[in-house]
Amino acid sequence: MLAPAPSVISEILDNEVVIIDMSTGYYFNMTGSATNIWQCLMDGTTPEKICESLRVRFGAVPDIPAAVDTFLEQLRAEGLIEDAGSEPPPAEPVGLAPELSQTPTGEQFQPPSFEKFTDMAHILLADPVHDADPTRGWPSTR
Amino acid sequence: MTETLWNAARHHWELAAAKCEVKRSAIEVAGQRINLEFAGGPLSAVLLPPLAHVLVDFGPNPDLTISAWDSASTGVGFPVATRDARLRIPAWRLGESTEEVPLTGMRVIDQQVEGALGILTDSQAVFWTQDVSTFPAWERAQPMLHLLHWWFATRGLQVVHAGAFGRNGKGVIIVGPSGSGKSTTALSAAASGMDYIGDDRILIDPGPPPRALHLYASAKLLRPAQGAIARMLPPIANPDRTGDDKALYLLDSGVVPSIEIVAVVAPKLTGDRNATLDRITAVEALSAMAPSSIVGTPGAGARAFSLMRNLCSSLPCFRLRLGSPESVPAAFEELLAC
Repeated sequence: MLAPAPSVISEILDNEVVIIDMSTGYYFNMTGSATNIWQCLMDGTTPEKICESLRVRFGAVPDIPAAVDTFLEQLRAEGLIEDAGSEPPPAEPVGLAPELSQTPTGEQFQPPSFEKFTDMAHILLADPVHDADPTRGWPSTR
Repeated sequence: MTETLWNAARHHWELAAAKCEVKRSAIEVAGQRINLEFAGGPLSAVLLPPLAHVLVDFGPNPDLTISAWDSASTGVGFPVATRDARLRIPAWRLGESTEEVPLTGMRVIDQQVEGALGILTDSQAVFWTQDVSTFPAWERAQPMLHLLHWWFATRGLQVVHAGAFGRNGKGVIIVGPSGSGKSTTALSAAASGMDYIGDDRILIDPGPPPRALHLYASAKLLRPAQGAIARMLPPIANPDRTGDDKALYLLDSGVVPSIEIVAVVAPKLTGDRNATLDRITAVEALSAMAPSSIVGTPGAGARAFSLMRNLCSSLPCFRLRLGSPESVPAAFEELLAC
């Protein structure tokens, strides 16, 4: 089962996601099908169930499994998700977040992606003792 | 071990208090009264002025008591080698804010850059520093920020990295990372006669309706103020600052306790002549507000993020394209019209 990493916090807003990784200082924005995938991940899920959820929303699009695999690998590489143990007992309806339990919307499937922002990372990556600007101070770095 | 640390810290504060006159005062914000006990004259002289507009009389039955001392003037050090890993103190530190601070129990903030350390329990806190005379502008502008941040969170109030100002009880919060123009915007508005809440760290009461609460009557600028802002501000509070430490000002007028928030504004420095406001999405506003508020503040986490999300989703959000400081107030005329 996959789930967000413990250092990750996220908020969904207007079908977009803002994610902050507090271990790196990076933050991310997601839209479209990436939002749907992240919503599934927040409850802990499997790649198969993510694909099932997307098929409910977008219809039987052949590209979905490959796109999901690629996206999950990207999330893993960023440290945003991790294995979270075995799968929980099935809930009703199986594998579908409530918001996604609906008939196809007619919306066209677009491969999931995210935007990554690193402009806050210096605050976390710097050593506050040795890297702080000696005159302007933390969080200004040398 | 944590109880031992707390008892030792309290005991050493009492040792410091026995060596000098204790200055007692209190602050009150959102109906919460915090008693302050300072052992060491230099400490109160530095820490109290930014809190001037929330000061009240020291009295019985406070919601929180902070007991503070400095080693330089009292000769009393901090009790134990707090940075000894063997103590396993549940400490938070700038740059290591990967965990959300709990709302109960003992919490420690280790400010190694400033040479300060704070311990918060449910209704008591201690704040120690080696030598307050070495505090940089940011610590002098926002004293005891982390203790106050953690304690106000237990009351449902959130410290955020934002400025705020308004008129007739309503106003805006100014969000964004350091250097985005928060101070310039807030001070330009204050110089035009608008009510000032803060330029960098304010408290948010989520409401409804959401309110911005004043905490620190300070403002920091990279360069000494000029023009209308300079005419409104008192003299620089840290004329002896070194290098390019920010110029610190302590506002003596124009401060109000709180305003109802009617919009979230993210400034952007531009070469434009006149400042203008453009609508942005809630996600754009949240992306400007949350990372700098959370990443730069130890112990802020999902609770703070959720509060900011709700704020951005329930209010109109704008990008302020910053022009000359004199043009800033006019950009808000329509938004803040009654």
